[in-house]
Amino acid sequence: MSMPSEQAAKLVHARFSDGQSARSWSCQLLLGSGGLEIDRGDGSDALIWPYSALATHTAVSRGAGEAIIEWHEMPGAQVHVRDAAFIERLVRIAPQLSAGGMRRRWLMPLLAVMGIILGAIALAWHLDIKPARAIAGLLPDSMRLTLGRSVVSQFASKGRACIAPDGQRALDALKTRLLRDVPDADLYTITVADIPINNAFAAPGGQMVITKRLIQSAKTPDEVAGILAHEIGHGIERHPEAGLIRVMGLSFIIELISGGSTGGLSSLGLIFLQTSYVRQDEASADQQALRLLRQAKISQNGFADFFARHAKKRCKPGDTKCTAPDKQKNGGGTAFDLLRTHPYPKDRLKVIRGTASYTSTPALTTEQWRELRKICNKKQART
Amino acid sequence: MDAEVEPRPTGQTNLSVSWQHPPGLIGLSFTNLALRVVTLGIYHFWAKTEVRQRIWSAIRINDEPLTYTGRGKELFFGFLIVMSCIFLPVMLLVAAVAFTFGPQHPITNSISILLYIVFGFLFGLAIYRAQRYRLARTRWRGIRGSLVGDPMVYAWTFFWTAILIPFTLGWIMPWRSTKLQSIISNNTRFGDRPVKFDARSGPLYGPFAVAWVGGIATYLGFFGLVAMLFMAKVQAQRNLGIPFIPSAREVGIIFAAFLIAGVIFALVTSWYRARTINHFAHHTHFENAKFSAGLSAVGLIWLGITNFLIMLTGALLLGALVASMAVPFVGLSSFAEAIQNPIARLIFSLVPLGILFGMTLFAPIIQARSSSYLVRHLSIDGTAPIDDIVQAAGNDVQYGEGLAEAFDVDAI
Repeated sequence: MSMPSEQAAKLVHARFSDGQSARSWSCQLLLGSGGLEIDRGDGSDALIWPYSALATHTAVSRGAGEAIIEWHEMPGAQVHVRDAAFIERLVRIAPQLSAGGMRRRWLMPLLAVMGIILGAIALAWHLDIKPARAIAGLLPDSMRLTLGRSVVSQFASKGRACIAPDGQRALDALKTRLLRDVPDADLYTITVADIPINNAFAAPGGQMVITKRLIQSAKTPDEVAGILAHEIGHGIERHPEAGLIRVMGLSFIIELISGGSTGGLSSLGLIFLQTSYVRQDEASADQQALRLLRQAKISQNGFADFFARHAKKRCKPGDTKCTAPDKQKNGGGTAFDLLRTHPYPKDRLKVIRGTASYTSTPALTTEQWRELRKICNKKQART
Repeated sequence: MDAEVEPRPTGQTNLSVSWQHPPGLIGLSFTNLALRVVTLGIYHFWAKTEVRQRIWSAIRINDEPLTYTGRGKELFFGFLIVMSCIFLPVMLLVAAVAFTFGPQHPITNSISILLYIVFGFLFGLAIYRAQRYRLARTRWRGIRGSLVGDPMVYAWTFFWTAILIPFTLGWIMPWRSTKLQSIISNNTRFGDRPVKFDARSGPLYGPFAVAWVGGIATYLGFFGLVAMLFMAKVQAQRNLGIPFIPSAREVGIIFAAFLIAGVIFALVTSWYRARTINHFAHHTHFENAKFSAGLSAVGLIWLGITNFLIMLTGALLLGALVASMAVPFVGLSSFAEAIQNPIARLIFSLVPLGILFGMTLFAPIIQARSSSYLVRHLSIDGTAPIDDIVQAAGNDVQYGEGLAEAFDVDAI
């Protein structure tokens, strides 16, 4: 802190309020040696406010024509001064009155906290710690099952769930074969749903749904086995549970960093972040599927064949990136790439086809496969 | 200027209100943005505080500025308290119930309905508490404002009248807004002196009827026009089993009709809004002074459009800025080529976040313009014994606006 020069020590007109009433007094200010001197002109002693303890609630910007100065020892009291040259000299002596000075007071601790948070995030990233999955791992089975069954019931409600006994037996045989070395195999349930989509998905608690259309579109039982192994892979990794927890956590974090004022765009940001995780989950479920198929001695070719056919149907003509793994560098990306929830079929095919072959037998006998395809001949009665 | 308001010990002083535009708002916008990015957004609360300080200081009573004494940490802690004591437990409760009983179970549904009711009530509470905090942090000549009264009264009125809006087809709204404004205004104090509000909702029903009929007519007119233009074609194509896909010209017609309908709707609703604010101002008194306001529908619409364009500029500017960060990694290649690069992909996925932050980039300017419009169209006529007004005891509020932040109900 520098002391005011003799030239600076001149009187300036201002108004003083004592914080007790709304009355204001005309006063003279002086940059004294001990602080800001306020002479109220009523014969009383001049008030001296130490420079280091001066404060303001409205930062004094460069070239400001006015300032309101306060001193915390006199709560509510203020001096309203309108003299740019005087204010400039005062800010030089008491830099905490400037916007930069006011920010510096708490910005350094805030930045230190941010550094710690960012460091923790980087460490978690480096150590591959997945908090959502860790929390999902702590959920009791009963909770996971309840939620999973509830989700499944949305798709395979009564009247849509296929239960032809022979088909069910074939499905159970396939499930048992795939789950041979999976912990908590009893939890897993596969429901066939007669709904107008060609898909399969995993819900929490190892609950899975595969649609009639998907079974009908499969050329071999090995293809169905590959798809089911992939969904079981999601169950083993607890992806559905982790996904729910992640959405809740990300929503909370986005609300926190945006101060709760994001509006609809936070949902967009959430989708982008979430889809990135889902793409990783799909790739990881594929790895689990390949492991399960190998253990069950079911060929991975069915899994690959399904994706190859799927890719041909889904990819637009000319979309080389979608269909042809070897032409990746020539392919073109789009903004929609960022919104993809699944890896490209060509990427998945590359991984599946790249695994070493092993001795295998068909996933189901011819008879079992025929019965599985007819599983929707009987459905759970509506109540 | 100071000589104009030389105090008279027990006399009355004429009151006036004016606006002196705060300098440096563009610089403040970019500073706030930079600090929000560096702090992952947490600076939001301090940024908001600094903006308020500037805006408050631009509002002059008898040519002396208001002072905003709130602090960023008060807003931050208020938000943290509400998020951790209300929102996080509620989220966990909902998740736990859904996990335990399933999302469609009657218990889950009952809890969801209960939460809607609780949050509906909390919304009104948030508005009142935010207003109380802002008034407690507003000073003029060192004397602070305050909002006395029980927030529960406001929250309950806000809640039950909101439930009646659909049942009355909206016709409770003039009465509701008058009632809610009455609770807030009549509980407002400057120092030890109360503000008085004596508006009745009757005079608002004429403008409301115009807005209501105008709104319905615009709605029916828009859909009637679209039906008249396209219904025959849709029907004919349906008979032939061909789905109706509008041509570019037809889409243009629908869009133009929608735009015109939007402008008409904005005009009638803004007219009602302007009349409401003017009516409320006209019935607000402080000591021997009376407020009046001269807002207009055109003025409000112009303010809304220009503020929207400023917000859009910020969003596009920052979105483009984030996207341009990919240039060092991929050069000026096409998007199709650029997205092959993993770093560029990461940067492009951050563009929505850039747009999100960009929407609030020029918030200081937008908020100052809105406040400026209001203050410049507001006047005070009459006197008050300013020298006799003393600081009211108590009324200190520790933390600010947590609920309002969480519900995003804050105007400034």
